[in-house]
Amino acid sequence: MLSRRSAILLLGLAAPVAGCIGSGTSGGNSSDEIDCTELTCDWITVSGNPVFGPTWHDGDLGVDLSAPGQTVIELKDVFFVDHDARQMTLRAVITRDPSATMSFELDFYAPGQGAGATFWDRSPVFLVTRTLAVTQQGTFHFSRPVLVPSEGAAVILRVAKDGGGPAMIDELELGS
Amino acid sequence: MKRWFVLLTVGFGVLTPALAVADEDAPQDSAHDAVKPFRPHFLGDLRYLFLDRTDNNYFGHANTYSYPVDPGASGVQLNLGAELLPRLALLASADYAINGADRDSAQLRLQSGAVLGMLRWSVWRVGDDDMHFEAALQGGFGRYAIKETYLDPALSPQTYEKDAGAWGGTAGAQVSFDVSGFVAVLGYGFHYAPATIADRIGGTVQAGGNEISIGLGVWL
Repeated sequence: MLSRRSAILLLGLAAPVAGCIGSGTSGGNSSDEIDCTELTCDWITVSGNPVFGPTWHDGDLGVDLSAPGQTVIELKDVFFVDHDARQMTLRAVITRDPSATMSFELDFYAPGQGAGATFWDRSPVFLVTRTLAVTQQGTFHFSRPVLVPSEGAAVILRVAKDGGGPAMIDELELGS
Repeated sequence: MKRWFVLLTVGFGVLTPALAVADEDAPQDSAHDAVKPFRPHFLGDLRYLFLDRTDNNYFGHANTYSYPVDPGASGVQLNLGAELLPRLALLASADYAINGADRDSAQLRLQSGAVLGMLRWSVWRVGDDDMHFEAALQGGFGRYAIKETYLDPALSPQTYEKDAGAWGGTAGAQVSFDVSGFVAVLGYGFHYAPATIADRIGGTVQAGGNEISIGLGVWL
């Protein structure tokens, strides 16, 4: 059993130690159309050999596009939060070696007239592709506004990487 | 951890009997160092430690990935030893520091520690045995260790651990004020400790760095 004096001493020692733990947030929220901040998203591999696993740390999961050659992955999303938003922001944490090129392509679609169970089965109408080149290198926050076509109701977000060297994406979100 | 404790205990055990023998016939006057006969003194203090760890982009990477952690860690330091020759003290020093960051449910922690043998030289001392102020230089050598743990229970029950250990050295200075055997001390030291943890994209952090410590102790 600790005496009161011992307990006070231990608390005194613990206080400065406990004060050194920072607290952050990945930034994602419920109003984001795409939120890959806490869990990895349902990416589809179009080409190459992406690794859906560790990024800067073994325990921090994201997408590792470092395999040599071209890699393309994509994510489909039907807007559900705010159909009137005409501008969104694409954010991500990226690690890119100068020897690797990387870009985001966003294909916007309007609803189609066909029959089918899902939006994508009903022959959606392609509207426009917005391309965002990643020019920064190193490890950095990427944030870029994206204009949404007036009839845009869904998006296919594609990440294309080419060349060698490390390239990783984590904390990706598309929202307001 | 157990090995550190044994080292500390042995070191303390060797020093204490020598002090006890030497202390029996020590004069109890308040003359200055220059005129009074020397007697050994027991030294001990417990300090709050601020350690600014040496890194190469490790903390930059962590912050970019939304873990708000900086190189500064808090901890404690225990020093025990004896002034066996005038103004020259031999000490055993042990310290532990921790910091980290949480991001949502993920927890990143960095812990480091050291067990060192130290030599301290009081370059300037004014006052007498009952009350004095002194400035000292010190250096030492010993074992350093660093450990990183990462846990994100939302993604995985697995705790990711990395650790490293290495021999290293330290050099520094301190000022202290002694009243009736009780000491207040403020110190600075640089620790060269190549025990290194690396992240997956080239960032590294070491167990050493710049240290500032402040604490209370005894000089008996």
